[in-house]
Amino acid sequence: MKSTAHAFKDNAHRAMQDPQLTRALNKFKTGFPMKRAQAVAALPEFEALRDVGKAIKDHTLAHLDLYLETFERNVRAAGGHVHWARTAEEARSIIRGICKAKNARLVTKGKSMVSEEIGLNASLQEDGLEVVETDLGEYILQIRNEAPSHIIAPALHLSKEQVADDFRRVHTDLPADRRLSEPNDLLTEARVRLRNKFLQADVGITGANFLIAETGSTVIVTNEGNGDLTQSLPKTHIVLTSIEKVVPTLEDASTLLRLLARSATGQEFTSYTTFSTGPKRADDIDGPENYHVVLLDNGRSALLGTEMQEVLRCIRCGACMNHCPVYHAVGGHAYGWVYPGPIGSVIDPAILGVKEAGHLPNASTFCGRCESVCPVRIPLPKLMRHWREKEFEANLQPKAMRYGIGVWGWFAKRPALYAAAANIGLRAMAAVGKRRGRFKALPLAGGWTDTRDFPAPRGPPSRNSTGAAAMAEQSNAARDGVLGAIRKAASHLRDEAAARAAVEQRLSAHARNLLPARGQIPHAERVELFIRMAQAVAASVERVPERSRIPQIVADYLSVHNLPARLRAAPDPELQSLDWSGLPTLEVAFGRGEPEDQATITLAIAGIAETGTLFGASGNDAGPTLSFLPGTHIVVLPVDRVVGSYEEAWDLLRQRQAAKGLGMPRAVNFITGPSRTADIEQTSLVHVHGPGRLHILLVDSAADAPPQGS
Amino acid sequence: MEVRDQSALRREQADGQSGRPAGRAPKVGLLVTCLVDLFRPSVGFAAVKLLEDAGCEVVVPRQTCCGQPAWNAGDRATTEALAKAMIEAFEGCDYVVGPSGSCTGMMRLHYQELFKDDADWALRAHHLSRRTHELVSFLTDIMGVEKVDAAYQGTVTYHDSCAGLREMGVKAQPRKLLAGVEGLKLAELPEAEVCCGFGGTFCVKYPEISTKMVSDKAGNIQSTGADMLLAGDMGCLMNMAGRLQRLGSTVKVRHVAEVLAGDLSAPPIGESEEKK
Ligand code: SF4
Repeated sequence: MKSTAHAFKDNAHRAMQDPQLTRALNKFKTGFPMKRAQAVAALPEFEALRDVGKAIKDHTLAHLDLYLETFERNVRAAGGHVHWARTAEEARSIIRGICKAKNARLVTKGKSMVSEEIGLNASLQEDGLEVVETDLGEYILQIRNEAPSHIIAPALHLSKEQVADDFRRVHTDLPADRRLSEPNDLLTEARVRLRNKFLQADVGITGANFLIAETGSTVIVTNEGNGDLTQSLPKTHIVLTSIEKVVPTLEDASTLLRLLARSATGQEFTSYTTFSTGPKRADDIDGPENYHVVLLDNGRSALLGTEMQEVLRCIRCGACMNHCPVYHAVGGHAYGWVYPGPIGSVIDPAILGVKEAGHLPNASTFCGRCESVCPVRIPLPKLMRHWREKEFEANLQPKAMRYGIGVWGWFAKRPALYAAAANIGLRAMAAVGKRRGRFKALPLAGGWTDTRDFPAPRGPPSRNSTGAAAMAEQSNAARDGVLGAIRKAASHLRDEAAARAAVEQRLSAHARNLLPARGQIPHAERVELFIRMAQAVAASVERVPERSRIPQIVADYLSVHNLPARLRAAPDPELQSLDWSGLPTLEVAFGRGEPEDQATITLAIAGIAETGTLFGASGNDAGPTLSFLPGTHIVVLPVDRVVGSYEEAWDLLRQRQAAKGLGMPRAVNFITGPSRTADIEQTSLVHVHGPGRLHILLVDSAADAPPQGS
Repeated sequence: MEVRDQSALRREQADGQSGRPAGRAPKVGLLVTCLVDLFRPSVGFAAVKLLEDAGCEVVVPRQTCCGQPAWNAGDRATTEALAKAMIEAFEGCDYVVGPSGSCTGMMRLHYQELFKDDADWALRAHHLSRRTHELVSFLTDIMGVEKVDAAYQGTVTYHDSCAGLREMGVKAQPRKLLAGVEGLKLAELPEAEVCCGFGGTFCVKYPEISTKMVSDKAGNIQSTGADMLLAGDMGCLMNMAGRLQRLGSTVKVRHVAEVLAGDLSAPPIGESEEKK
């Protein structure tokens, strides 16, 4: 993406003249902070979790090379490929190369800020590929040819009328007089349109919120379910991510996930959190055949070992911009590059240079609200001040500013003179002020000059050779380059043997960092909590006294909801062993989900009480086509599988996989309520790309079945 | 309230350094602050009265500026020179107290960071840090003041200045003391914790954004129906007063210390003698 950060003042001026943007920001600036405050208040451990989150990231950054190597090894062991990219251009050329090798024509994309950072879409389009953004907000921006204005709510600046106009302009095959007045009309139209793209895509590209060294997994967090369809329907899945996203273990990711959604949207947990590890396995019913991870550096390793290192803890939650009064005044586009708000004011100069992006760290009052909400306690004002120091040292600040500070500083260093000068000023001002009471300007304000143009630093992407051998060579050089840079930063700080031992220890211990007390309660209460939390996110829960009743209950559910009596079921022996034959009108087919399926049924490995979350994995008992394609998803959960926390679910999974002699499944899904979005005017809607209905059958074992009717 | 990492504060409270010296009146060095000195000496006098009423011996060492403008402009050399002068100036005092969360926050938190690579000065900065307090929180938290002797007939609203709130933990203390002012009613300010847009040089570097922020603040202030706006930092107060008056508002603006000291003899900020 081409930067206009140097024109921040002009950008901001334009933004503040835009009444629609102002309306949107006014809604945003109270809505998001309020939701976060409520979510934080509901979790007493939140402040302590912030300390743990910071510590996890600090530990990882101190051993970044070792964790990245572990991650790489484990991706390869799971059958995936890892590519290293020192620069945006290298990353683009790697991805272009993969697409070319697969003869791809259509690429779907999950939301990825790194792909904005490297300007991926334009470079793929140059190769003649059709590229389709599938996050609703990103899709809207793509047809408007606009950049995101927020890292998690990309289209927050638009009104539903603007979106309706765009849909009419672009979706010309639909009747011109169709109704598009409500957010839901827009949502439905986008769903139908994108459904075909998901199904036809050759390559799916997603970002990653975290990378897990222990298992070689990449993690995506979405509310819509678009990321899951993007990564599991096409033959090839490419994960484009950056080096600082790695964390040691599944437990560490779980801790950070507790911080992420609460900080970002004020949700307890996002609807979908998916851990992907390698391509489709032998017994999987669905999933991609090829799995690639592109690890981008693009200036990050250069921050290690400097005062800027702390910014690499960022988990891109957006809380800092949600709470930033400057962002609230000008919106995201004014910042002129990919990352707006306080985090952008720290990162953008690191990637673009302080000459291009120097305005951003200056355009802050240092009110500290960003730091006060940052889940990993990044001292954003302090880091912005460091950029100002660099600017000052490089003599880049406007002359009047330097002169003003210089004169003031010279006096201020001399107490007697300062007092005299101040008194002169005071007396002079008093003479006028007595009468007028106030002045039109503050000291130092006069003569303030500002804008200077900076040359835009970037040229068009150059075309590299994309042959396989050239790619491999480039990737090796890039790998050595990135890891070398990291080691150079770390080497004077640590004892290598001790560092390796610490990493080994952390990877094998699976230490639980901090479990919220909320889920650590007796089983019966835990089940109650699970039900309550699931219902709070609009899932429905039905208690089933015994397994054998499942077919009848499913048939009744479909009929009550006016759904056709057809069901696609996971081809799992347990589901197959149920007696479906007693219901001749119910048509049950076993296998992977198909686009025409309206209702599916799968099995969960666990239910997690702390957030009402279902925990399942790809295999023959579940899979993304069953969980994300239908409008209605029914999930069978044995009541004795209700656990308190994410960590307990990981233990269950590890036991199950060990018993089968397997490692991490290809996809592990945390599902919390139905698919949802707030991308259109911040209105909460369900049924985006994933199911609009999530129905949980909580099956009692014979012994503790509740009395009928309870 | 939002909580910033206050490890420095917490550490200090844990090691008991903030306790009052036994047996004599604590010697408090008043940090006057540039803006009070230049624009609003009455706040300095109010601070002296409040501290003396609380049983302190108040001294005013020769001082200039805490260095924050240079610090925030990225000028370390100037900041260091000023910080050293301030550290020396206040070394004989039991406490350093100022009517500003911003300046006291600078001395309490930022000096330590400034000198982190200079062991001698880091130690001296640390000693200063432990003794530095914002005025109102010093009165309640250290001197144990429960109630002040003051009266105001009217409704006030209170803006939580950023540095006081997030660096110095000032939130409940002014409300507690205001509750004891006879006749005073407090109408809470919507979005009281959101920055007013002053930000030191920010307001002159980015006047348009600053104006938008302070206009939103003015709207919130007027929505309370209060006849007076209070806060604990002159920068914010001048910014908000300037905007309110430009908008034709009749809301009076004062530093909270003036009301707590019961001395409203100076005209409200930005208003002329005659109008009073
Ligand atoms: S800097 Fe902190 S608050 Fe901002 S996006 Fe990153 S993690 Fe979130």
